[in-house]
Amino acid sequence: MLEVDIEKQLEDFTLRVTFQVDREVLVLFGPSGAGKSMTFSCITGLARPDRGMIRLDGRVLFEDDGRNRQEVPLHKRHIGYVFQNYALFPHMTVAQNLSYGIRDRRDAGGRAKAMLARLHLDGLADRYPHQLSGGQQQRVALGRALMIEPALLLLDEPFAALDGAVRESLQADIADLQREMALSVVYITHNLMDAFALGDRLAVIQAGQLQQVGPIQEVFQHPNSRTVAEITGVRNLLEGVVSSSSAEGLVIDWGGHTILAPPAPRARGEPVTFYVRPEDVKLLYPERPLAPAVQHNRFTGRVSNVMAAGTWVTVRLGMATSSSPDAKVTLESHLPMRAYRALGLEVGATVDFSLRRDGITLLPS
Amino acid sequence: MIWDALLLSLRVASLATLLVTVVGLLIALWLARSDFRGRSLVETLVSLPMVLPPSVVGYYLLRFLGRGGPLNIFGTQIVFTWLAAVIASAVVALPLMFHSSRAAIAAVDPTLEKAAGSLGSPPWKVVWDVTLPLARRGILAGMVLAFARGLGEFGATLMVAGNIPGRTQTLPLAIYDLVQANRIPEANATVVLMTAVAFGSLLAVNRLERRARSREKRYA
Repeated sequence: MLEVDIEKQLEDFTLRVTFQVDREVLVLFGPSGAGKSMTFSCITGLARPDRGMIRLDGRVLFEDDGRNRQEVPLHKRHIGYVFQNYALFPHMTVAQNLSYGIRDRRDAGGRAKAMLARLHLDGLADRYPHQLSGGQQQRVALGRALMIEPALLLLDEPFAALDGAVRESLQADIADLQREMALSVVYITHNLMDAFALGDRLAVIQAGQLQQVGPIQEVFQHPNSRTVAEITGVRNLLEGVVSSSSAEGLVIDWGGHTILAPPAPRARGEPVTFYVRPEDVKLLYPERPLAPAVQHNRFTGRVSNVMAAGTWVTVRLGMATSSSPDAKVTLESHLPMRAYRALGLEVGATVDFSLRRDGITLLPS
Repeated sequence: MIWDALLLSLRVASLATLLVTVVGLLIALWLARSDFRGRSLVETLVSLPMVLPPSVVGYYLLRFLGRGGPLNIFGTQIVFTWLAAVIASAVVALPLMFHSSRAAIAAVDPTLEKAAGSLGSPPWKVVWDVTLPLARRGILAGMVLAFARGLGEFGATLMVAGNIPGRTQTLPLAIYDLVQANRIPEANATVVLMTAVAFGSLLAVNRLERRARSREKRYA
């Protein structure tokens, strides 16, 4: 288990992170420059925190309580670290790269061979890094880090430079290796899809501060703040004021429009931030009767943009609110291509839509 | 006379190169990876022999290494022996070795050194396994330049080692004597020989540097 509780003054902000990682995959997620890489540097020993402690399976790697400092140097931390640009040794073959971290030269060859097979790199032992594809280089870097049999594996943007099938097969391999070797894995990403791909838990970091840590699904479904909602790509983030609150539900005044939401312990007059997922913005067929789920929160908007991706379509709807009559609010609706076609819409058309009442989610105040 | 001088020159230049390689690399490693106050002072000091008149360098060496000089630690006679010629060549060749190898070391991607460290190598092993092999062409170029410069050293050597035929007379000094004695055919032959060595060295350095550049491109 990795335990991190550190503080470090950086140029623009103070990095302050506290988290633990069991035999699982933790995703360190946040925009560029949020302090993700610096956190890694502190864990591996490439940078020194101002104070705090870092422990791995009970072993103190760093501890500074303001009076005494205890610090294990980089080369004695025994942490598997896969650098963002792979950092393979260009003057060594694949086999030499793999066995670099092995002190006992006698079984280095055999173990390198086994690792090559495990990572589907058979036949590449005598190649040099510049003769490999990006995906192969990434696998060698991963294998090299695993050869020292670390308890902790750190991956810095491991999938950023890879695409499609290469990315997916590597993700599957990392997931398998994590289970087989019972590894603690932490990886950095700023890409939503990569965060979902193989993480168990998510730590959202912004400007050096941990915003939320929890199981991935939970963080995505229940962001605890506007910041986390924005970073995790939540659409249709809206602001309003509670105009009445009862056991039946909440009534929110949203810039002059009335929105009904599920019951919540909020007081009348309280400002609220809420969102509705694009899946819950339902475009209405003019000639069909309304299903009960979409009878509330009906509005009219104008189609401003349509983006098709595979079998799904994202429709952007512009609508005026009294608080911003000129600058239109834009909502996103996400629906199957088939349903979109049936509506017979095009850009500029006017359309009725409903914000599903149960889909209105309030952020914690 | 010429063969004695040639052999002595080769011996002096080789030993000086060895000395300069060790000292130059240590200083280059130290300066390439650290940033401290007074760094440029050290750099300037190491580079000084490049611009000082050789006679001035020779005079300093005479003072430092001579009887009672601060560097004459063992109290033995160094001045006016062939060892003094080695030291003179080394001091004059050091800036070339230092500049070439420091540039090559600075060009090594620090991430590779960090990676080696994270795989369990202590700093000295990182230098040995990663930094030096990747900087080897620049280091080799520095050695060739240092050797060529040492071979051609005249002024400082004359000051501190003298011009004793068969003992401290190196090839450049021998050429001077040949011309003084009006032995023009021998002087011609020696001059051509020295020019060939210098030309060959520079050609080799040029090739090394070009290959280092194309290798960088390939790795990038």
